Amino acid sequence: MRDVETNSLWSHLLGKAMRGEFKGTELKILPGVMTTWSEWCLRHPRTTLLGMSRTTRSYREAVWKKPRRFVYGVHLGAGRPSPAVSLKRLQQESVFNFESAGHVVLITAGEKGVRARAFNRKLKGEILVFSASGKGVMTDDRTSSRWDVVTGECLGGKLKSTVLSVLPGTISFRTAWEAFFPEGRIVE
Amino acid sequence: MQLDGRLFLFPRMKSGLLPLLLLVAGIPVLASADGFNPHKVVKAFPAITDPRIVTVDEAGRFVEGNELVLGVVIGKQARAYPLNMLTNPTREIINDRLGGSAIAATW
Repeated sequence: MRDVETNSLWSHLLGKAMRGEFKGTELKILPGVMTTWSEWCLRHPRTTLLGMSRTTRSYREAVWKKPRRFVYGVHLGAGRPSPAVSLKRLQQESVFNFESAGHVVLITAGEKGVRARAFNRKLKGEILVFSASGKGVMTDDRTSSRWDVVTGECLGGKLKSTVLSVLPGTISFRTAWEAFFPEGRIVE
Repeated sequence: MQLDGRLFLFPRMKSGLLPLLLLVAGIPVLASADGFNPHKVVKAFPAITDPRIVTVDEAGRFVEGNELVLGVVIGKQARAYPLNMLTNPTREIINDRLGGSAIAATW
């Protein structure tokens, strides 16, 4: 993509200017979520929506029936290796703990892997390990508190009201991720 | 560049210096000395700014329940971008505003 002001060339996936006056500048990536419209509405009943004409009809829930084509990638910041997890794995383990280059990451995925989010699972200096415990809920290994898998908020227990920090992540075609992060590790 | 699967929302630069608009005619870029060698650079398309935004009540005409969306929350405001509206090259970047921030949804 380009910016009108300087005509610099930017990479969508990296959020970074690759050529031109802004070369080397990075945009802040906001944590977005990819999910179905119905699930989004359940979580955000007052949401607004882009209302343009469709350009295709192919991106529906059924896309995830081919999970091998996709990974969920996590951005740990400029110059750091960006790890990714295969969507197939996330469909099998909806609460997935791992570590990459010193970062302790948690990825939570919805049923079928349709919606995924990444969190930092280090909290006040302590590393937590999470496991699924019912629909939309997980528990940590230190305090057995209950947590919301989508918001990262502690719902009950010793850590109640604490919120895990969200890491920017994205579902990506595997081939695209490999091209942009050739040194990144993909957890199969 | 192989750019499928991009799911980011970019706040624009500080002080609005850089609204991410696609406007200027693009020229194919070949291998060059700066080490950046994109597979292909397409011509630039008119920038999408101030896109049409609708409420949940109006959404039925634009999206069905099983369609995928890219969702983002800033402050107390939530917005969804149906992927089925973003796939054409002319649509891949939506410059928008949400919760006081200038953002771009990209695909």
